[in-house]
Amino acid sequence: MTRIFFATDVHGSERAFRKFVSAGPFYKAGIVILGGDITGKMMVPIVQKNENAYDAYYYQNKVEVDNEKELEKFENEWKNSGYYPYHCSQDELAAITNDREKAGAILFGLMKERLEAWIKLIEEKLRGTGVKVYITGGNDDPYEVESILRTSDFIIDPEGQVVKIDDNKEMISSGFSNPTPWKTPREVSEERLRDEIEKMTSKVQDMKNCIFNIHVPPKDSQLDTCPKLDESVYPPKPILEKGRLVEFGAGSSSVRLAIEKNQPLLTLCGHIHESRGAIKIGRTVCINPGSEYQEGILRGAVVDLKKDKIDDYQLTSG
Amino acid sequence: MVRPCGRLSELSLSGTPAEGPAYVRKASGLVRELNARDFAFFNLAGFGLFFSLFYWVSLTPLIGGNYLVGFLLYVLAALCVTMIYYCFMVIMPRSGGDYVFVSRSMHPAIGFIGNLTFGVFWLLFVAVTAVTITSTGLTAFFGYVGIVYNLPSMVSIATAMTTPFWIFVLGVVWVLLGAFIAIPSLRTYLRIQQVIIIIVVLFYIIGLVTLAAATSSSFTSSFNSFTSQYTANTADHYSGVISAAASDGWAIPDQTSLWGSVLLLPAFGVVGFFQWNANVGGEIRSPKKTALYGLVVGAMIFLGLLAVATALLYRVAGFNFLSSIDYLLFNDPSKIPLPMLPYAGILIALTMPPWLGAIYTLIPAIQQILFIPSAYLVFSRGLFAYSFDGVLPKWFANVNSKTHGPLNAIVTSVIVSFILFIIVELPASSSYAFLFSSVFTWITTILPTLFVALAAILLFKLRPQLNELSPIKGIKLVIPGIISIIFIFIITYLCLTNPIYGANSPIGIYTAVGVVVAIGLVYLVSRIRRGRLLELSFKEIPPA
Repeated sequence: MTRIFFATDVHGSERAFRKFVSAGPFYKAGIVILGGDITGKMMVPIVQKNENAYDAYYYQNKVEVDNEKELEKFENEWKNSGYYPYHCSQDELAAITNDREKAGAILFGLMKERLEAWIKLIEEKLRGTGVKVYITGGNDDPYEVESILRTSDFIIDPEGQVVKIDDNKEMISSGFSNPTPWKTPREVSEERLRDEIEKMTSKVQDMKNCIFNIHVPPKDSQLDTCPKLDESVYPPKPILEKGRLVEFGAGSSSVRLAIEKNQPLLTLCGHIHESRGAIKIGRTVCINPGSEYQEGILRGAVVDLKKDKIDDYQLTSG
Repeated sequence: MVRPCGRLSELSLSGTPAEGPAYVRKASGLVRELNARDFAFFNLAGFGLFFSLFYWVSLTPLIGGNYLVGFLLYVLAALCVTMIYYCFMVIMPRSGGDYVFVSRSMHPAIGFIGNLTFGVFWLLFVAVTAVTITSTGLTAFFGYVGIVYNLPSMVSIATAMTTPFWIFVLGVVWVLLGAFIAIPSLRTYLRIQQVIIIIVVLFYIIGLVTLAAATSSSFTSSFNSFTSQYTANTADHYSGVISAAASDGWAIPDQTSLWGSVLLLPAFGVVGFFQWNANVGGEIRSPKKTALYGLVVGAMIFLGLLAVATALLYRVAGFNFLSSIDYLLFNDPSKIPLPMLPYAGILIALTMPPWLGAIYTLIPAIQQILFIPSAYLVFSRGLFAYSFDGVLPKWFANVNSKTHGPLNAIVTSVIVSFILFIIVELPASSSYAFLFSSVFTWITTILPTLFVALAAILLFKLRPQLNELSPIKGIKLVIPGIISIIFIFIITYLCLTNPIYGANSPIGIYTAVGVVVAIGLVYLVSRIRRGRLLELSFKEIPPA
């Protein structure tokens, strides 16, 4: 039997990632897989006002911090929520406020720095333990994430490949998503997504024992239910009808089609954090463990695999 | 400094990325449909405004004590309990209510036993309700109409409805009607709930107005006139009720005793602590706001409405009269000069014009009908949560894509309630069913409430990270936890040591203990089958 642990959408959360590192030994899983959206999305500029006083700019609000100890506490909270504290001068703050490109470059640098630290941590903690680690990017992750992950000789980035995870299980992986209102780095059309998946499925030797590790969930599967957004404004706003949120399935029709057509053993997805659950499409068990990274909680799924079948699975909240 | 992000979900209504769990749905497939009003109404459907009033008025005058003191003590208990539930609903806005709260903060076995015990008895209460809709609700309506409009055939119908045959036939109808409302979708239920609860509250308030306008002498006159039409003699039945009770051993309860005031707690407590609706926590929008208004504020408003009606009845009908008629109700109902049981609805209807009184006596039955689908929704969400976590088979967690509800769990609830209905129906008698239900109401309430209160006390120690998410943190959450536990122990002690509540009956205690043990065994089997993984899934992973 092969036990895998799958989590996704940690979005830069230091605490959630550190829990992921511990998850293999904790759940006695020989294989741990981190789905896409590993990087965070927000920088928190911190400007020193005087010797012990700081202003932090958090969600368009200014947080005034009186001492180093409190600042450290705030910084840890922000890191655990997936944000990137960034110490800068008042002048630099003004510069990055007016120059989005510069702000983006700094944010990318912070993301790279944290990801590299994570790679180092995972190598330190798991090398020699027998736990195999697979990490892919997601639609929120810049393409450069692949090259950073591939600097490791321990972590496997299976993006766009068919990889054999044990004697008889193959896995295909994709961090692409269908279009979202947010215009994120790895959004592609449904046609392109279908082609990307087909490129991999055509190489799978035994579909009965194949795992689809695809970031975006299948369309209208209950693993993809979220509020419908009005894209005519930015940031997009939820649409209300008679005072109620309009919800819909934001998943991918190409992913659904690929599952229906190929009927793999298991599909692991994420993307829609609140649609945690497990369903079946034909013989395929599809799992979205959801995400609660902002609270530092690592949601995941432990799956026990046997040849041609799933022995058992358990959604976890660690 | 915020780059575009593909998380479609984490957007607050203001359109900015959410801080904390502002809009996060954590239950699979279930859709967040309930706003604060729906949530408060759901609570009201659970505890039943009229039914709760009937309980209070049929028990509190028997006990005596200072009504206001007893009531304020109960408000303190209910406030503490609802505040704790509110905090947990904000921390863990998931379907399954106290099962989720306790399983995450203490142990899944404790959460499972507490919530499923509540769920089983809640379905038993469906079975009892399927009896009492007919035996107390419809008989009141037909009896009232028959008397005030001098229609003997209607009185005969009221009498016939207390027979086992009609209680069974109509009970089946009520169970099926409840299933018919609950199965299509939560939205369908909510639409029906909104209409019924608005009607219920409207008539309840009309009742308050007519009670406030009535005097003691006008009530006495109405009661005598009403009973004269039924008994065909013009005796002073009002005084006759008091004399009959006195000759049967009734004595005026002491209204000044502090102990009597404390004794009132279980009587108020038969309606529970208003936390039923936490089981649908995965389907409420904006948990922080909805749980506060729908649970805490809603509960306080409803408690206020109950207290005002009871106090007005004390004033208008008279404490001694209420106490004596309640005494006869439980000891010798044949001496009550009425064709129906004298619950508060009939007494309030006597302060109204006949046409209004006729409609008024029908409303409690309508509200009771609403309780059945609401209970199915509550129980099914529990099944869904246990199944989602792997404690019960995953089949219960299947969410129907059309109804957005856990259809298998709802259908299971209907089947179980029907079996329980047949069991309750076997020794059918309305007052037996009524007493049976009152025993179980408090039993079902104390166990999960005790566990949740313990979880509140220990949260900062056991799960400091979750404690940080609570609107009331640390020691501030410990205080309502301790107060709640004190009240739970007082209520339990009083219930078990006073025969008036019927809770110390062997059948009540054996059934309660039996169900708890059986549920514990179910968990044990699941634990053996799933291995340690089941419990690990609730534990926090130590970060590397």
